[in-house]
Amino acid sequence: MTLSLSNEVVEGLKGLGVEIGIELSKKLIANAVKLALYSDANIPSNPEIYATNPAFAKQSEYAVVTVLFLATKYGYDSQKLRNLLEQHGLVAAVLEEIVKVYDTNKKDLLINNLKIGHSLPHITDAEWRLTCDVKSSASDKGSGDLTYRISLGRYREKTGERESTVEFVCNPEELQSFIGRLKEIERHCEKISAPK
Amino acid sequence: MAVLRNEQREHLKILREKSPEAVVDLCKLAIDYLNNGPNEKKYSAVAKKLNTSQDLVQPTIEALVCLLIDATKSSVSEADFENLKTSGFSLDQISILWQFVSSKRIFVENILRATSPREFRFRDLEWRLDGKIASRSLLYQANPIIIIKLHLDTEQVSEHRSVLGAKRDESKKKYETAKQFLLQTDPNNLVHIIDVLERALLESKTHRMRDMLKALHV
Repeated sequence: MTLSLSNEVVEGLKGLGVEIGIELSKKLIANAVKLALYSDANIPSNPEIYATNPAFAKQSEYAVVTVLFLATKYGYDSQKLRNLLEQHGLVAAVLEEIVKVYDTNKKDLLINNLKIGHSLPHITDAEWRLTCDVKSSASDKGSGDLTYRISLGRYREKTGERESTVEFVCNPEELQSFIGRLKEIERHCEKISAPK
Repeated sequence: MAVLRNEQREHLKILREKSPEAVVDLCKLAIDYLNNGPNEKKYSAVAKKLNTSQDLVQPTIEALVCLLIDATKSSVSEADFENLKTSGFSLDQISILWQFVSSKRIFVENILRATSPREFRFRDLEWRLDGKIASRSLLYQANPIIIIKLHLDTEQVSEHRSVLGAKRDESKKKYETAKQFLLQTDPNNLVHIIDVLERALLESKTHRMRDMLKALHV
C-alpha cells in the first residue's frame, strides 16, 4: 500500500514558509506534533500561530498532523518521508523541520497509533488486599479464613488515575491456582519467543 | 447462649418432661426439618408416639433448630452447654441435645456463612495468545496480545468439580451466580502481574500474618 496525500494536505504543507513565515511555520510544526500526541487540555495555547492567517494556519496544522499520522501508519522511515515531501515541492527548511520532528517523535507517534482503535480492556497492574474473617452478623466467631481481594486494572496514561477492570476475591489456594494459570501463559509466551 | 430465652424455654418444656428416647426422636425430627423442611405427617406420628398434641411438637422442633443456630453462632462449648441444667434439663437430655448440636454444627456454620454477602470468586481462566499484525492506524506491526477470559462465581465449589462442565448441569438460578470477564494484557505486564500476585501470596505465609491471626483469636 502506498501513501498518497490529498490536495488539501499538500496545499497546507506548501504554504508553510510561504503564506506563513519560516519561524512561525516551525512553531506550527512543533505545535502540530503536540496535537498529534496529546490531548488539547495538555497543550498550551499558541495564539501567535493563528494571529495573521488563521484559516491557513489551521489547514497547515491539519496537513502536518496528517503527514505525521500517515507516515507512522505506513511505517515510513525519515528517508521515505523526505522522498514523499520532496515530490510536492515543499520549502526546504519546512521539509527538514517536518522530517526532524518525525524522527525525534517517531517512537511516541508509533505508540500513539498502536493505541488507536478498539480492543479489550488492557490490564497492566494488579492491586491486592488481604483480609481475615474475624466476626460477622452470621457468626460470633469468624472462621479465620484469609481472603485476597484482587483488582486487575491499569493506570490512565494522561491522568495517572487507576482504572479497575475486574475485581474478585480468592483464598490463598485459589490465588495459587490463578498464579499457576498465569505462569502457564508466561511459559507459552517464552516458548514462542525463544529462538528456534 | 448459656441461658435459654423464655420463649425457647417454654417451647422446649416438652423435652424436659419426656424420656431420653423421646428427646432423640424430636432431635431427629429437627434434623429432618433442616434437610427437608416441616413435615406435618411426621409431627403427627411423633405426637401420637409421645402421647402429646401435634400443636406442641412443631414449636418444639422450631425451638430445637433455634437452639442449634444460636449455639453455632456463639460457638458454645460442651461445658457452656451443661448450663442447661439450670433450665431443668437432666444430664442425659443435655448429652443428647449436645450430640444434636455438635453433629450439625458444621452444616449450620456453612449455611450461616452462605447467607453473608456474596462476592465474585476466582474459578478458572481460559486464555489465547494472539499476534496483532495490523490495524487501521498502524499497518505494519507484530505485537503479542494475551486474551484472558476470567470465570468468576459467587459459589465456592470443590476443586474436584469440573468448573465449566458443572455449569451445564446446574439449575438456571445457580448459573446466574457465574460471570465471565474478557480482558487482555501483554507479556511484559503479565510478568509484572504474576510478580505482584506472588508477593501477595507470600504475605499470607509470614510470621506476622500468623501472629495477627493469633491476636485476633481466630
